[in-house]
Amino acid sequence: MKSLNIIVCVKQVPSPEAPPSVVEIDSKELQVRVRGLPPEINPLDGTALEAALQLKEAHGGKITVLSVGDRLSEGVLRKVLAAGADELITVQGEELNDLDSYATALVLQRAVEKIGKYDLILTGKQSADWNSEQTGLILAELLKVPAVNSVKKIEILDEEALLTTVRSGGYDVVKAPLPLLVTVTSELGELRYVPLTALKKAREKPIKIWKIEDLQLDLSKLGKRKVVDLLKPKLERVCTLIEGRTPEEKGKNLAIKLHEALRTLSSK
Amino acid sequence: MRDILAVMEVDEETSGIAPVSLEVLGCGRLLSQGTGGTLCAALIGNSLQQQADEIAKYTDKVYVIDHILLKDFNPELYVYALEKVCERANPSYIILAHTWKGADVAPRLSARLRVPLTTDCIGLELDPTTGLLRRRKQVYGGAVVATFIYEDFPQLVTLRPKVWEKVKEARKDKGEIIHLDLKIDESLSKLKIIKRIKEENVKLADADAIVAGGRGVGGAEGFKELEKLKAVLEKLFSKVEIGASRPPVDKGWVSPSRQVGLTGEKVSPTLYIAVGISGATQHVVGMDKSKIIVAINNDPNAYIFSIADIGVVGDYKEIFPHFIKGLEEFL
Repeated sequence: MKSLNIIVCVKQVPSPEAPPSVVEIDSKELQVRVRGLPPEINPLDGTALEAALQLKEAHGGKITVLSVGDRLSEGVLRKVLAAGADELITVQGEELNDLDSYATALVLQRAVEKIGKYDLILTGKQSADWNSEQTGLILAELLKVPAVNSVKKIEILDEEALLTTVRSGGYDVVKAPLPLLVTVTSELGELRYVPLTALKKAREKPIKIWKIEDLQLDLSKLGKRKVVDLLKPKLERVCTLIEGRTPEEKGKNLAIKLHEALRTLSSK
Repeated sequence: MRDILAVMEVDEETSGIAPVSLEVLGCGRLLSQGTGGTLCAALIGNSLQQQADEIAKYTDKVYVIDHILLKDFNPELYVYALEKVCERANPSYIILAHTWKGADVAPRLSARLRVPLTTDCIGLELDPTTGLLRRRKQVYGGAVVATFIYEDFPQLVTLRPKVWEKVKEARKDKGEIIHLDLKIDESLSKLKIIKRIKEENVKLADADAIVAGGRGVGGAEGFKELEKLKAVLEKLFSKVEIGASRPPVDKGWVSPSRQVGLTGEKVSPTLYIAVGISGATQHVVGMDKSKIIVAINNDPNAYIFSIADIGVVGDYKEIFPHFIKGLEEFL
């Protein structure tokens, strides 16, 4: 098997583990802000990079990480170089703020075409912020390469890949020719631990910065997502805590309380 | 140009129309009442006579593409067929269910039709003057609900299952069934599905009670304890399932099909018992529509207690035997 040219598409997202209390709504700008926590690499895109690193270890080759956005943090993205990616290309600019999936896929398409040759494009099945589950599949359509969604295992045979996909009620094993786009699920495993020394070393590695003009792309004609309202839903309920000094009392009281609640519900 | 195309799914187990498709029709019916357009359905698969008759009870037109190569779901062939239905029906609104199939097909269709897509909508509101849909969707792990519009037609959306009312009344007459003859051959797809592996068939979304475990359950062994509670609840509910938050799935304690949350299944059973689950937002938004939520957790400060109706602080292994015994007394 020849060595693999892999492109991994990575999105910078606000910390996905942020508790609801630090997620704030800027109702003037109609934007969501996460207070006090640095942005991160979208966890499933981290998984995609991990898959790429393992494929490179097995077959040799080159990993190029591609990221699109406004106000991208070098510190956050350099982590991909520290983890073992060979090259990091960002497409940056104000007009790339808060892009939706379709627009992101268009920018990625142009960037991928500018990169040129590739065997495999990997990305997360969805992002932790808008959770749209579309960018990868749209990108593949735009590039006119086949795409396999929701993959938990990747094997490369000569000019083909064998993918195990997660579906409702089981798995499919799918064969697809290269070049190919694959979106990955969490079962593939988190991005490996990156030690501080590697992070420090990665500071010397260059990052390529492209502008939208470099891609000959005009996003102004594109239909835009117009946010009309952002709301923090009230998830909280009034919780009745079960009393009891021993597990026995607690268990018994819980059964009584639950029985009561179910009866009230069915009488409604 | 105000017609609605509702994309149907056939249940692979029963070969009948998937229950979620009746929700898509319910939403479609409401929209057609709002726009005055016809309600059309797309039915794509193999041997669909019976299913087409069923759908025709609820719709003005059913577009059927029936082909042996569409028997097993292949997203490339499916989207090809759906694109042909769209060309013929020329809808202003296209609605799919946000199932694993819908999530695989809709983005491909979005690219082919060159219109933006909104996935996993929990609300849609029709603006009667512009005809635009105000789309409601959970974002930022569910911490925020965003409402937004796109001005492009057709308006393309997928609906979160179990949030929408199923279509109820059948029409007095039957809708028209239109068979589209399509040349489909293997050259249309570069993907080859070589194996389908059936795992345990978990249908979390259909359960009316769920016992779910998190990191605090401690391991695969712990889930056996949850099974014991499930066995008792089966005497009270018609369908009980074991669910999980993300950590037990990532650690391999349970199958991914049991994951509840934004990245797993979204459920709204009558009863949801969360055991050893801390309550990360992305889990909570997958189950917060449950009618009664019970939380059992060691940590009194766990967020799960803020979203539960009934809470118990303590070790579930110690509490369960007494809880089970207590429930048995009510049988």
